[in-house]
Parts: sequence; structure tokens; C-alpha cells
Amino acid sequence: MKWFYVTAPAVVLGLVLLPIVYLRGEKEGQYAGKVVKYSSYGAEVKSLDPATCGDTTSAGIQGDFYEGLYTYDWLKRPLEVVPQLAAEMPSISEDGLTYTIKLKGGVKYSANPCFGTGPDGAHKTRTVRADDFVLAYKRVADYHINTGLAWAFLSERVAGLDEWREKSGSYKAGDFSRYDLPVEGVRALDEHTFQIRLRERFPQMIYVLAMSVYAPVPREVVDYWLGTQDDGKGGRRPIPVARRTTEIREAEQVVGTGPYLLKEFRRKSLIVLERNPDFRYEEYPSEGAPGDEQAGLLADKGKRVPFIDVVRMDYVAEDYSAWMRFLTKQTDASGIPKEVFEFVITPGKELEAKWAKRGIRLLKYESPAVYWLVFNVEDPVMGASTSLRQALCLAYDVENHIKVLYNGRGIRAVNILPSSFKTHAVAGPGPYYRLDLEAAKRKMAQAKEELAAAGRLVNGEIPELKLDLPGRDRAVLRMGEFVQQQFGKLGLKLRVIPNDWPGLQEKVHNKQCQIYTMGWHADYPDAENFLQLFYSPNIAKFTNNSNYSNPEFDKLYERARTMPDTPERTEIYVRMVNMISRDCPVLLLSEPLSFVLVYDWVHNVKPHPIGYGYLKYQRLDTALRRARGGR
Amino acid sequence: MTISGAPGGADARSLWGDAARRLRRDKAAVACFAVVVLYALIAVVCPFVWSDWADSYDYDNINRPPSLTHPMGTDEFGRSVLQKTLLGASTSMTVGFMANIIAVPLGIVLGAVAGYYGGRLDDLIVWFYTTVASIPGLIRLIAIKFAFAETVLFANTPFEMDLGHGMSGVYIALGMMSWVGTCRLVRAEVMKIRELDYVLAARAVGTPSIVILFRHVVPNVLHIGIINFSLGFVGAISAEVMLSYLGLGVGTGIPSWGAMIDAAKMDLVVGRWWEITSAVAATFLIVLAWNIVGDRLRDALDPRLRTA
Repeated sequence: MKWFYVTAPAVVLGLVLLPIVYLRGEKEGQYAGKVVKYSSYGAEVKSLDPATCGDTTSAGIQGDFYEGLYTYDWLKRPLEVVPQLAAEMPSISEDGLTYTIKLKGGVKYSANPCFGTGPDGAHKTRTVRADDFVLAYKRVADYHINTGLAWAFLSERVAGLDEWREKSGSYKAGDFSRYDLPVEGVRALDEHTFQIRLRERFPQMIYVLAMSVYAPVPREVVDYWLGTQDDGKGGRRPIPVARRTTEIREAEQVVGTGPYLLKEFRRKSLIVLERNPDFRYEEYPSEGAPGDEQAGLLADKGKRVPFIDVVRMDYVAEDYSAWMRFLTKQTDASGIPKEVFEFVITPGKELEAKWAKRGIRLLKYESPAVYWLVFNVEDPVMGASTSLRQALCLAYDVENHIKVLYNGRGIRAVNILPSSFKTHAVAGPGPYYRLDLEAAKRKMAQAKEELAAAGRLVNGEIPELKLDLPGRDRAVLRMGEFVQQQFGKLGLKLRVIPNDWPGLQEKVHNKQCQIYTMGWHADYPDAENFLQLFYSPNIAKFTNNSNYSNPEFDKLYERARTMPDTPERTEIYVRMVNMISRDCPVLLLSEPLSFVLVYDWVHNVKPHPIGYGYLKYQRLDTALRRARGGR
Repeated sequence: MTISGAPGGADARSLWGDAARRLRRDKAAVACFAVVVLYALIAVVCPFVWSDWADSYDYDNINRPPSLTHPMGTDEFGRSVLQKTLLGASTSMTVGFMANIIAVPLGIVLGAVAGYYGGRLDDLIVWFYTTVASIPGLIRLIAIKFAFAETVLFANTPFEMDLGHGMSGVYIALGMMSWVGTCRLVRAEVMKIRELDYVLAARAVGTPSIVILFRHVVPNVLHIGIINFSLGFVGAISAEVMLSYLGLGVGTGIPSWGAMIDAAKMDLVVGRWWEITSAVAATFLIVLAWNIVGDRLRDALDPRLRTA
């Protein structure tokens, strides 16, 4: 009995303390002696597969372990494409159709079991070959992989790729022998030479080659990780074809050439990146844009990168929780939640002095993106009246939209192109992308006549409109309420329909939305990237989501897309932009202006408007971080 | 020999008269009832007085603290928080009322049928409500909301009901989940009543069972319905606040205490207390008042529960 009284409290105490030990998270000494960057992320990482990457969060993470043939120079402005895995800029044939690319020699993948294991138990690696790029392009074209964005840039452009895609559809999803079928226009000429042949000129091809969605994929990854499974005896056994998946979804399956490898990936919980020991020798840039030298961005020139050993990213859904982690120095950088913005940033959009005194500095940057409300022009009401769309654009108070919903973090969009694009200024503001309530009311009278003629009025009135939103949280609903107020100025009723993100995407693809919020972030610095969103054959590719169809626009697009950057092409671009400004398939809202705070122990931070994978240049002064009370 | 006076003597009173007398004597009950009536008046009158409230936005005066112009400050769109709070009463009272208009009759009918007829019908109804009750309340509510997410009844008519995003969806969801308690109590009571002499007598003279049930049995369990109506009202108000907080409640642009709490939840940390305080105070007061009224009503209508 005496033993009972001794052991019982001990057992109870042990049970109480056990979860604390387990939940402690970071084990003591786990990162001892290493330079660790701590950050948090609030949006779900949807993809670990380069082929299926279609959102900025996934692209941001993937950019640190996958690399494409080319990339953008981190510092130089205007943007400049430079070789990454390619040895030099591509050799382009005289007709502009064939791109021949020499690969850098000796670039290795991160070590992985798919390459085999040495006698010492260490995983092997191998160098990148041209046929890895051929496989990457085939996977992007694969009928069985959902590669929406990556496929959109290659479809109908690369010789034989569409035909290959069609053939791949006749194979079972798990039958990877389809990757042995040749593609006419994508070839490995030898181990270090890759060639792409286009069906027609595509001057933006160099930008496409700079996207990491076309990063090389070794065949070993497909055969080992997607074709076999652990047999429980330390070996592998084939997975039956019917049970195979086609996409890379686990951290262990990620095999890239980048400066980091994905050590740990727990969905909506934790991401850990570790320095890739097989990363090639690469130096910090020695040239930049004017002002970079003074900003200290060239202080590390010539040094070997990366500087950081480990990147630990915790999933923190709430902005405010992420903010508190930053204030308590648990993370090195943070955005600014809406609620506290006015306490941190002055009306002149500068950092309040008291925050600067705490060793915090502000980074402000514009992204080449435009947010808009999309009108589905195949909708019986929105499509029947151009005047209705024009009236809604004229009545919408975009300035207050930016002020009330985003603390003024944005600039009014006046045509479909970001203001950093040269065609933006030439095209000028659209006639309906301004606030003029009287003109809007006059347009409404015309809209009623048009809808009456189309038989779309209900009891003599415009029926209730519907706005689909991508979420149910307060920020999204707040926007819905604001839109209701704006449309209400014209006497229109608006039903706000919250959706989850996949649900909204499905509705958009099925053309079930009438009005919804969306935006486009430039994939490359050319107006064509935005204009293709209104090209009618792209309705089938799900990039033209307003379902806008204008034969005159299509004709101009087809003419311009093969033209090099000339004044004639700019003139065609301007005509196309003005057509959109006149027909209003979208209600333009804002170009985002981002505010990021970083502590002074973080060096070499310069946001890039389009490219990813620049974490390798970042440096942390961990001694200063500890001295200031950080981790 | 003729009988003079009512059974039980000159002092005999009906159940309802007795309950009313007891309630009148209970000062706390009267005070709380007055609060409920006040809320009901506000709920009826305010939507007419401030019919254009949704359009009263003033983007130059967003999130302003209390002042003479706006005694409870302004919200994220520059609208009066006081008006929003009072208009929120309309939403809450409507949801509470409509949810119980669905739940209580449903519970009474199903409970009475199960209790009176027994047998397979009773088994079926008991199985049904046991199944429904086994799912946690909030999960059930969210599931029903999602099930009706895309449902619009009587579209393009004056009776249009958007179950997914309008108020009707909330009270139908609440009504469909909160009948179980009433059903259980009524079933048990009816099982007792059906064995009483007057029911046996009615059956003996050949009165159809449906007539016995609804003319002689159901009126004797109505007090259970009334008690559950008042208690369910509180539950419905709380559930609406909870659903709106989760973004699943009434649609955007409709003032609601839950939506106000959701909108202002991060405001406290930056010292903006007025919106969340107004919504919480309004919810607290009506829930407290309804709870006390409900308790005292139960005591008054069910003599067995009366405390000394």
C-alpha cells in the first residue's frame, strides 16, 4: 500500500508532464551551431511538385529547392533574365522557333534514396542531365497531372507536345511508360544539351524558361517514389499501376538542385528547409541596381551562398498571432496586420519612429499584380449588358476600397496592366475605371434597356446579383459588405456567397459564378501575360475566367503574340488594353503595395517582383539577434 | 342536484391563471420580462427607423471612439455602433422566434404522436431523435448550414429564401436541430396522460384517436412547449451569435451581434473596445433576461418543479 502512495503521484505527475515534453517542439540543441531563420506562413502550401505549382505561396517555397534553366537577376532593375541551370543564354535559330540550351556541368541534385545508397548508408546523388528537362516538360503536358498554369504557357506552342498530351491520356494514370514516348519538339541532344522547338514564334519564351515550374525532374523520382513502395523488409516493391499517384506530395520525394532541401513538411503545421550539401559553388552578386550599394546590398559580394543553414517556418493562420511572434522576436520578419497598421505606419506611409528604435526596418514594394472583380460575361445578366458592367465600374469607389479594406496598401488600377509595365502608361486609364456616380446612373438607364431587350429583367428590375468570395473569414466578408455598399449606390442588390478556395475554383471552371474576386500576378514582365487572360481560346484552358470573347481582340492577340518587342507590337497591345477598358469584363480594383518589417539582424533583403529562390542571399547576424533578446 | 361553481371550490384557478398570478408576484421575473418586451419593441421598431442604416457608411469616420454624435462609436465602415447593436436585436429576436416556431411545434407533434401511439411509430421517432441528438450541437448546425448552402427556395418571388446565405437558412438550421428536447419531454408526458381516465373515457365512447390526441392530450402538454419556447429562444440567440462569429450566420450587410464580435475580435488589442462591448452587453442582457423568464415560467407552469 505504501508503494501505491509513492508511485501513484509519480505516475500522475509523469502523465501531466509528458505532453509538455512532447509538445515542446524544437528539441534542445537541435540547431546548435547553425544559422537558423525563423518565420511563419499563413497560407497553405498547395503543391510540392514543380509541375502543379500554380500559387505564389507554393512557388515561394519551391523556389528554394527547385531551379529552372533561367532566373531573374535578384538585384538588377529593370528585370534581367540570367542563366541558372543553363550555362549561357539560349541559342535561338533564325526563324525564332528553335531554342538550344547548354546546361551547366556538374550541377547535382540533393542526395536522395531514389539514386541509391552507398556502402556507408549515405544516399547518393547524380548530376543534372538534359533528359531530366525532357521529363519535366512531359510531366507538365501529362494528361494525368493537374498542371493548369504550367501547361497554359506551353499548350499549342511547343511542337508535338499537345499530341503527346493526347497520347498520354490513353495510358493509365499509373503507367509511367508513357514518359518513354518521344516529343517532337522537346529533345535532349546530348547529356548537356536541351532543345525546344516551337510551332510559332513566341518572344516571351525566355520568360517561360525562367519559371521554376519547368525545373528538371529525374526519372528516378518517378520510378522510385511514385512506382514503388517500402516492402517492410528494407527493400522496395512495385506499387500496382491502379494504385499509383502521379504527383510529388511528400518531403522525401522532393529532389531539386537548389540551395536548400526540404527536410520536413507537415501540411498546415511546419516546414523545415536545410542547406543542401550538394549545392554547387555560387557567389553573392557583385552588381546591382542604383542605390543597392548604399543600401548595403552589395556588402557580401563575392561570398559563397547560401548563408543560412536552416529555415524553420511555422504555420500561423491568424495574422495577429504571426505579428505577436514577430514582436516577441520569435520570427525575423513579418507583415503588418490590418488592425495595428495605423499604430505602426505613419499617414505618410513610413515606419513610426518608436518601431525604428526597436531595431525594426520597413520594406515597401509594389508587386506587378492587379486585383479585380471578374464579371462572367457568359452569365445571362452580366453578359447581356455591357452598360451594366460599365455602370458598376463607374460607381465603385476604389480609393475607399483600398483605404478601408487595406489601410491604403495599394494603388488604384486604371487598366488591366500593372503600372510597372511600359504599355500601362501608353494605354492610359480606361474611361470607366474612375468614380463618377452620375455617369454610372446614366449607364444604368441604358443597362435596363439592354436587359429588357434581352428579357432579363425581373418585375421590371435588374435581378439580384451574386458575388462569390474565396473564404469565410472576416477580411473576406468585409470585402463582400463593401461591394454590397458600392453596388447599392445604383439600387442593386447583391448576394454575397462565401466559398472555400477549391470550391470557388470549381465554380469558376464550371462558369457558375456571376461575379467573383480574383487577381493576376505577373509571371513575366510582358503585357502578353495579362492580355492572354482575355483571349477566347484560353476559356478552355481556364485562364480566361471572365469568358470574354471578342473576335477582334483575338485577331490582334494572335498577331501580337509572335511579334518581338517593337513599337508596332506596343501599339497593338494598347488597342487590346483599350478594348478591355471599353468592354469591362473586369472591375479593376488595386495594384498591391506590400509592407514588410524586418529586424536589423536580417541582411540582404530585396523583394523581387516576379522571381523566387532568393533566400540564398539572405544573411542573419545571429549574435545581434541573441543580444536583442531573440532566439 | 345541481352543481354550483367550478370543481374544487370557489378559489379554484386554471393552470394559466395561476401561473400568471405567480409570475406577476415575482419582481425579478417582471423586470426580466420587461427587458424581453423592450428588446422585442426595439426589434420591431428599429428596422423602420433606421431602414437605410446599411447605406449610412462614412469612410472618413471609420472606427471612431464614442462621441456625442455616435454614443457607442463607429464601426469599420463608419456606421453607428449603437444603431448596429439595436438593429442586431432584430436579427437575434427574429432568429430566436422563427427557430422556435419551427422547433417547438415539430417537437410537440412528434413527441405527442410517439407517446400516444407507441409501438413501431414510437420506436421510429425515438430512433430518429436519438440519432439526431448523438451529433454534437454545433457540428449538426454547421452540417445543416452546409447542406443547404446552395439552396434557394421560391427564387425570384417575394417569398424567396436563400437557405445558404440569408437569415432563413439560420433559423431553419436552428429549428431543425433544437426540437429534440421538446419532443422527449412531450413524449414522456403524453405516455402518462394517455393512461388517464378522461382519455380512456374518450376512447371508450369511440372518439377517433387523432381527435383525442389533438383535442384532449396536446392541450395538456402545451405548457412544456411554452417553457421550451422561452428556453430555446436563448439557445437560438446564442447559436446565431456563434454561427455569425464563424462566418456561417446571417449574410453580410445584416447587423448581427455575432458578426459584430467577429468583426471586432482583434480590435481590443488596439484599444477599440466599443463594438465588441456593445455586442457582448446586448447579448448578455437578453440571454440573462430570457433565462430568468424561462426559469420562472417553468416554475409557474410545472408545480412539481416549484421550489419552497
